Amino acid sequence: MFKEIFAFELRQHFTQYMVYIFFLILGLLVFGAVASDSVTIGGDTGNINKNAPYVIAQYTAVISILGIVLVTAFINSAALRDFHHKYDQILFSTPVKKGSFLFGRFLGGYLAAIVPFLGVFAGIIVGSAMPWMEPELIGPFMPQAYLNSLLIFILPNTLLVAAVVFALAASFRSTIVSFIGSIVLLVLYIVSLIVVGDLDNETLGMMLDPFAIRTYNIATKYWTVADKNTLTVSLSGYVLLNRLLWTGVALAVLFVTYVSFSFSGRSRRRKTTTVEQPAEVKPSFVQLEALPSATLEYGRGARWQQFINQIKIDFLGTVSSTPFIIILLVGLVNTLSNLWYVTSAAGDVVNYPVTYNVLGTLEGALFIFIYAIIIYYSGVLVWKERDAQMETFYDAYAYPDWIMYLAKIISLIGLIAIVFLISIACGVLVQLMNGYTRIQLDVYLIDMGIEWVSMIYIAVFSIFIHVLVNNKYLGYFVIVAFLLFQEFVIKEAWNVNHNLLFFGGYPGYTYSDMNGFGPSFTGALWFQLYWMLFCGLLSIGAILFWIRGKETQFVKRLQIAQRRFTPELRNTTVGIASVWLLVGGFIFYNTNILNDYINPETLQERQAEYERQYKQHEGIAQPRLTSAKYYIDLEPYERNLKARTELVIKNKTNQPIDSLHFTYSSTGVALEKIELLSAEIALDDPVLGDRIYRLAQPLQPGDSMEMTVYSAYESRGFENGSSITEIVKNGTFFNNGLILPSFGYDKSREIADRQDRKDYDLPKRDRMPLIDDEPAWNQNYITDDADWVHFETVMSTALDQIAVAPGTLVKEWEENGKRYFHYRLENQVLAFGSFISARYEVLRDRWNDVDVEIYYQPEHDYNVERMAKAVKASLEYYSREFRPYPHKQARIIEFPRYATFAQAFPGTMPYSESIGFIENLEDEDSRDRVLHVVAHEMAHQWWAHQVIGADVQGATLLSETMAQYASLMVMKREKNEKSVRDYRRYEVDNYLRSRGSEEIKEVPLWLVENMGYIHYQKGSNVMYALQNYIGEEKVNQALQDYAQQVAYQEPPYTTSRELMTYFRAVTPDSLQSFVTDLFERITLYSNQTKEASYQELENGKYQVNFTTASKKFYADSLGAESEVPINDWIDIGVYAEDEEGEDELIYIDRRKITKEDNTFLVVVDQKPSKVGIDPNALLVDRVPNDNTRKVVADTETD
Amino acid sequence: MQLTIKNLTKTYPNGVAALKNVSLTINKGMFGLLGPNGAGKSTLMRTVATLQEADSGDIQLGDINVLEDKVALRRVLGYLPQEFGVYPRIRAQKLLDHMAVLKGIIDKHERNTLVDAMLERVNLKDHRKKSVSSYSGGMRQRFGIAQALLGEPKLIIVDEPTAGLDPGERNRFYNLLSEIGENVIVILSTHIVDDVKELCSDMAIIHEGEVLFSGSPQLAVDSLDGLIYERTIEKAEMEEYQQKYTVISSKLVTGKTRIHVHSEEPIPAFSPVEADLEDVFFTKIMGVSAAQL
Repeated sequence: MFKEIFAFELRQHFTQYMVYIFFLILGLLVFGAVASDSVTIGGDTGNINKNAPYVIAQYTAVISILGIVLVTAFINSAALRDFHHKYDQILFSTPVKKGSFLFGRFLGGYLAAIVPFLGVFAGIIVGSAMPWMEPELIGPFMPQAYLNSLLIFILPNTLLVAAVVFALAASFRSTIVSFIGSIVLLVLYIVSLIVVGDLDNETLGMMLDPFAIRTYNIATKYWTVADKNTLTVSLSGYVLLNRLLWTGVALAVLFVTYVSFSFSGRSRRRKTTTVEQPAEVKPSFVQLEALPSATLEYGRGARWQQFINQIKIDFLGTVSSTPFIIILLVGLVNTLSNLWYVTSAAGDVVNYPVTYNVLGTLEGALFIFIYAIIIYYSGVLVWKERDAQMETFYDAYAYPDWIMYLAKIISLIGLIAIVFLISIACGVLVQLMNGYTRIQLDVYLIDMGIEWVSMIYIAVFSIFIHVLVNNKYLGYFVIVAFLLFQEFVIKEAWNVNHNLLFFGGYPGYTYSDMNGFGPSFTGALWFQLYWMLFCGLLSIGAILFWIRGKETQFVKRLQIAQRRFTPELRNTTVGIASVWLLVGGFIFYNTNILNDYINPETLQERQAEYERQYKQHEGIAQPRLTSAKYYIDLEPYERNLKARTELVIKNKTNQPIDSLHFTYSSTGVALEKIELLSAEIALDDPVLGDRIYRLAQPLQPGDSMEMTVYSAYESRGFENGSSITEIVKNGTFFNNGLILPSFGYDKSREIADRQDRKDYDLPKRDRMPLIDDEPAWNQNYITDDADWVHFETVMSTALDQIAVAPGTLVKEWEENGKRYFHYRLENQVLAFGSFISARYEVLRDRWNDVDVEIYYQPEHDYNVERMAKAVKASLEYYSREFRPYPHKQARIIEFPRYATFAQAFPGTMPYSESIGFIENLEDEDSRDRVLHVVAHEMAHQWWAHQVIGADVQGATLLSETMAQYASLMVMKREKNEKSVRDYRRYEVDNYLRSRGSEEIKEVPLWLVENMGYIHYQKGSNVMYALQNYIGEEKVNQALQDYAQQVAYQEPPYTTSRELMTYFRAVTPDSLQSFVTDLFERITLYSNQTKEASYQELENGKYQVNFTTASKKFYADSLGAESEVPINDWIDIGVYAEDEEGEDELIYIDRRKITKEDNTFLVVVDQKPSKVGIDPNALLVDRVPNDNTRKVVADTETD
Repeated sequence: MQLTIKNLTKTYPNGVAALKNVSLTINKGMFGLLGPNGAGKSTLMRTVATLQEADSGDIQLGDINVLEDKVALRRVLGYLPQEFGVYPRIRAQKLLDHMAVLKGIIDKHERNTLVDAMLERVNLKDHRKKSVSSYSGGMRQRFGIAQALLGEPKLIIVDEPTAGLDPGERNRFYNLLSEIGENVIVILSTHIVDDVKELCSDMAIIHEGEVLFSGSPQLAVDSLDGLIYERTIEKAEMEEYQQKYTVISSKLVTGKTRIHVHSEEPIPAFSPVEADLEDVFFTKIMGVSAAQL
């Protein structure tokens, strides 16, 4: 019997189109991801082969998650087929064994559900065989990789989902419950993602992920590109354990289903019993009396009453329905766990739960659930009467057609409102529970209100589609298909970016505590009005086509619609449509006429065109700035800016210069004019932004001349997005790049992405000039057209704001209702200055003769004292160890969170409001990012603003890595070794992870090509190891000597090659090769403690015995590693527990390790708890966690 | 008031001609619309009840042009569809109240009184707090008729109301229908001959979309006076008889087959029987269709 049922089930699935359609859809999706760059699945694959085992696994894993719903569909139909066709009584009365029936069904559905996933493999195989593929990105066909992906992801994940869905379907016999079950699985997955965010919980996270994606990611997190191309994860280790665990869970679920399943009767939960007629025969109808008469009303009041009544039925019915409550609960669990993440130390840095962070989390967490509710209930509500088979009553009642539609849509909108209100309550609750009381209810309401309105569009649209399509399931499909189509095809592939054309589109805005809802908010509101009106039209459409009665033929529906389209309704429609068009026109006037609307694709096209046309001018002799005096008039509340910059330029070349080349921006702040003595424009390309002046008198070598640049920005109306967030009402922050053209060809304008370059037929280019590219030594890596300049600023702003520019405040005055600030730097600096204006509180402090100033938003006063302290600590250490501080002030200035960085300008460090200022440092043990970032930016006052490298490989070693090092040294003093170690642990983890997704090639530290994971993350560890091996004072001596030599140097600029000579000079011979490994090679170690035991000696001391394994590897640029003989000094250490139970290093010794396996014998005073090799993780270790090991008492000997 | 249906035609997209040029005139009182399943009764009922469009033809109720002015018709209509369900988990009283609002009974006091009286009338008062979806078939039909009667309709359409009811329930239902049929037009659509026989003063027989007969039941029965003969035969002989005679119906009686035959003259071995409405029904249907019944 099992065979028959199984075969029947298979036949059912394979004779229907669903299997093939889904196979095709998944296949096409993956094909697209492989064969084109516009589709990505689970992240860009970068430099990894398109058919690499890693990619196969990634796609399979992600698709197996997306496929949850699909599996649900197959299994649900397998489990419920009989019930839906009311065939159950017939079937269950035949002599079928329960097991045969259940497992026949299940296996049939399971096998059918697997087939579509094979489309992933087909997509990869076919996609990578396409003729247009880059051959170097296609690896050999590796059957093992497909097999492993099948075994690790497809089979177990499908089994798990199938088992759960089958269990639900068998016991609830309801499609809805089955689908909700699959959503719960999805949430479980999200929760496991959060848990794994904490490094210590990796093992737990690896086991908890029911779909093994995190397991896989962690197992491969340190894989290099070469690994990803060649290795496959096999079913072993944690991957195997995870798969066994969850397959076990699946089988257990199936078993329980089997045990509890019963043929007889519906599930026990079913409580609808039939009310039986009492046995005694009573007359069913009492004798006829005249029924009380009732007035029939058809007026306005009656309509209102009918409408309200129907809303009560629909809204209350929906709100109290099980699926809604379940989706809501699941959503809230997800939301709360995300909120917990925001406010706890689980991740990296803890911030105060400021309202905008909580809001961001709420929206991110709720998004999918709100969509689910809208889409699901749009169908439920539209079909409510018909699903209950009561439309035949209703439809013949004398109420107007629109009542049903309006009741449904208002109910749905109300439903979403409930979700939003509850989520606001959750947010406020979480804020209060964290003791945070600055609750911005207005921000909650406005922001959630906008979100709510944009969900209304989806609701109106969904109902409209359901009405039009008039088939519940096809309706669902069309809605989802349209939303995906709009997002992925219209927006991503066709590049339709104008919000007028993108259903429900509006300019995104960012709430900032400094600047409120920001510059794009007005536009957002207008777009909301536009789409609301459009939804009004959709609603009229839905009313016209609302099904009333049995007529479903489209021609008939059209006739009915015509009849319903009364002159009155026609007038309303025309009215709404005209207002809609007017609003659309007004928006268009604002976005495209008052402002330039430029499609991102057009911008990229221009970049490519600029390179094609003007690359020829690259390297042409041009003068350099020697002095810049800025006159900036800011009207912050109007968001207007006028700037006049008086520049002095000098011919530093040895040839006369007869023409000046400028590159300027054709969008945003406009270049109004350039005043030059006796020069004429030889070429001007306002679209690409290139202008050439021919000088009447060539500028002779060594000669200088003046020029004045006028630029202006005037905000007009609103835009389709927000192109200029630098100039805002409160928190303007821009640098000179925004208002000045640059000299010569601007290489930074070139398209950087390799694939995009290929698309535009641009030649491949190096990420950075090579270190020995001598002509490139003439540029530093920050300013292309200047070396060291005089810098002076006069800036005006609104009366209630403070404007800040680099330098000493020479004068401050009021004039014409504006406030003026005059700043001047006494010494020459890089031509890189920031201009800032906002309503600030200022904390003023002093260190020696330096003014320490923190400019901050009044509400963000949490850490300003710490910031000042960090500034002073930095000044102290750096000026002692490196060189004197060159400025009279050190300022930290908060700016709105349109950008989330801190940046160093001369004596001035703008610092985003979203980092540091709101960091919660009440717990002394927390990672103090404020200290780190402030010390880092302060270090740039030396390492960038005094010592600046040539614009070649290794440049950022001289700035970013040195800043990281300096910051670590300050941290070591201000905090303790532990916080430095914690910090480095994250850094090395980040480095190892990032190098695996390197898109072009990894380089050794000294050749770093402006790559964050190398110059920050690897750099920190390399420099820390260096100072640990050769001594902090030696390193600082080298840096001091080096800085002495190269600070403020004129071109040619220094390179990392020069710094290396200073390091080598202070390094003993025994460690020279170690320095080579640190800086000039990509070196990785694998240190591991294998066995460890101790014995208590008679003298009360402890003898510790342990064996270690050490390996060393050099990696090439693609991460291919080759083992090399080890011959290095490596620490061994012993830990003991201190009074608080923390492990404390009680013994450390540096040993020369010359072979892989080593045994150590150490005698210590205290009872040891842990031992290890390289216990401080000074070396970059492929697997950092196994360096140390718990030591056990040795009971065998004696 | 009179309901006139003229030349009503309806063909479904799948090609089924549900109504072929149907014309009927229906007066106050109970009107039986008799026809086998699939005859087009429900299509006709739904068209009159404004739930379906006709391809051509005309329906007039008093001065209401039904096909054009659906709203006007709905205001005087009480309709009990053949199959219906209700919202799950809503109490009968509350649901009826809601239906009353939708029908236009807005005044709360009036509505409460009416709903209570109506539930009492159909003897569901004791079950008014229960969900209609938990009702038995008969109770459900009574609830159905209760909602149809809300708002004093002038035209009541009941589509196959007795299908699935036990004989007791059916009798009670007949009583109610006959009571309300006194002042308004009640159209009772059914495939059960007894329904019409017991209730209707006027009737029509409809089959395959065509009206085969229209008039009073008595008239119909009279028209077959002396033309129906009966004989009990073995089942195996059925085919032979069918070839020889116009067999209009057959039924099993104590294991044997009893057939009715339509004949202008007496047949040997057959005994004449008094024609009843069932014979009329089958004769009419036989007349247009050679299909085996």
